[in-house]
Amino acid sequence: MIHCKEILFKYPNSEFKLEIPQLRIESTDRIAIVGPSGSGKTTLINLLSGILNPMKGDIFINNINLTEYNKSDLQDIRIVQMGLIFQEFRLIEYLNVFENIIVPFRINSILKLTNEVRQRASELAKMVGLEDKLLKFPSKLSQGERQRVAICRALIGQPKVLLCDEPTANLDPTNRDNILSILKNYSLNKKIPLVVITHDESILPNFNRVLNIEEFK
Amino acid sequence: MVHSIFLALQYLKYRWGKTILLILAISLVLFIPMGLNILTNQGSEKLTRRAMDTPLLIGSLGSQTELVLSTLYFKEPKISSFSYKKVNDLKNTNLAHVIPVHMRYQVRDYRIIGTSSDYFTFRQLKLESGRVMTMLGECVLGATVAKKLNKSVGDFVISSPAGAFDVAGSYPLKMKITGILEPSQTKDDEVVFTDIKTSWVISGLAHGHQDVKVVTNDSLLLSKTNSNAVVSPALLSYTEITADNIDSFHFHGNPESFPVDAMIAIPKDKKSGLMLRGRFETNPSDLQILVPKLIIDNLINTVVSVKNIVILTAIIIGFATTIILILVFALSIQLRQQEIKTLRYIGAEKRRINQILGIEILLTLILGLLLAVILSFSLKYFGLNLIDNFIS
Repeated sequence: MIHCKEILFKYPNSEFKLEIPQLRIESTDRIAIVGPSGSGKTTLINLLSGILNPMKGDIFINNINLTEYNKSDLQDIRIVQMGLIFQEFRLIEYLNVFENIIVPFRINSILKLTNEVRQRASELAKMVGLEDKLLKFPSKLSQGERQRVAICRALIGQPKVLLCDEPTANLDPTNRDNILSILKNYSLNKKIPLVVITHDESILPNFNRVLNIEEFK
Repeated sequence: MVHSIFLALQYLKYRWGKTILLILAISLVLFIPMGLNILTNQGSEKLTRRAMDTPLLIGSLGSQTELVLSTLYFKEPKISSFSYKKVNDLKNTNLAHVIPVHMRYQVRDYRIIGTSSDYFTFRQLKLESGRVMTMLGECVLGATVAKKLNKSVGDFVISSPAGAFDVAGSYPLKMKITGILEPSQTKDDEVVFTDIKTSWVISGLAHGHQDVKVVTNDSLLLSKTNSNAVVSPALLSYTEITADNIDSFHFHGNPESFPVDAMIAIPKDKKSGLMLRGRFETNPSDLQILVPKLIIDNLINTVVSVKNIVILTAIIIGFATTIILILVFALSIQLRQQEIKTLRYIGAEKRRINQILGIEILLTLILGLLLAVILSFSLKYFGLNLIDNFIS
């Protein structure tokens, strides 16, 4: 569950301001956040993931108040609690598909890379149809395949929250539907909230809640 | 730590082109001064060892360095010869044991050293097979020559003509191999030893041909008086000395006037050595006496000065390269900001990211250093050949 209370955020030397008086996202929610460019959608995701700190207010992720922790602790919370998916995929170019999936277990000592994790990575790759591309490097993959690798990487740590910043923006309709279906099914099966930022109104029927960020202004 | 090393290795492997360039740059910067040091130390040792084993050297006036390098390392002689009489004169002083050296001719690329069998004793050269040369037209091969020419005792080698235009001078002489030397790891491995008289045969000062008195074909004898016979060029000249024709070989002129390129003098004692040097220094002569070690020390001092300049240059280049390397690493990290940001976003510890980047740099430096060490060690083995080529 995600809960934001009395949030105020401003970028230094900028007019931009984001205020969220109250926002609750339940574990059964699949929520799409919409709004025009520059309205603060990505800022909201960055606040929810602890990448940005609000000036005021509290953000609870499964009853953990992010505003009470320092940057280093937030890294640990993020890697354990959250699965992040970005518009530009953000894969590590020098690691093959399999290593990209398990990379969270190599970059933070809080996670231990075991055979069980490796097994899970193989299963996730199979689930998204990448089982025959495990040894390929990102440069040899299509856009849709890259995003599926990014999804596997987000899911490998068995996150409690899925936060996605325009995950389908660079994809063709077939890949878009495929990616949304994977995210939706995972969220439903594991009973974890799915938060997706999008510009694309055609995908809104996939969500049980739609939040226009302009509502906060 | 294991994961950081793994990720660093993955990056270096993926960016292999950049990695190899950096490793090469680092290894070259380290190798130039290291290698140069090894090479000059080895060269100095090699040059000095042989020079120290040669107490005194006598040759015509001229370049002292040329005389030493020619006689000790069999470099192509660019010195004047002198008459064999001087060898006998020196022997008659009873101050030193004298070994003549004649080195004008070659068998293919290998110099023929006309000397006496005392040379083998003096240099402590041992025979691997056969015996030393005792007869005109016999020779002993250095270990390398025997191996390279694939020759053994009983085989023959033929001397090469001194030059394309030397039609009237040296004849190619077929020489019988009577012995092969054990490897000595010195320049003696790379030469063909023969008696100095055989060298004179090659130079045309002695030759053998059909006996005019027993020639059956009258057309070969053009004219004859009591003291002189003029024969046709068709008279058979021997190019090989055998037991059958050795008696027909004869010298034209007085052997005391025949050429010698240098002589090694081994004084009977310290006092004799000083007296010998004193005689040459006080009596003006067309010969000079040298202590090879002093000449080589002088040469090494020059080489060391050049080495120091090169090392200084290498240090300056190394300093510049280090700055460039720092710049390359800094630019590389700058270009990887997106990747670093991604790792941070998905939960990487800052310490871990720094560790990965640090290991990448460290591995590159270690591999560069390792390559420099391997190159330097290989110089220890191949450097001696380089030094020999340099001397030659």
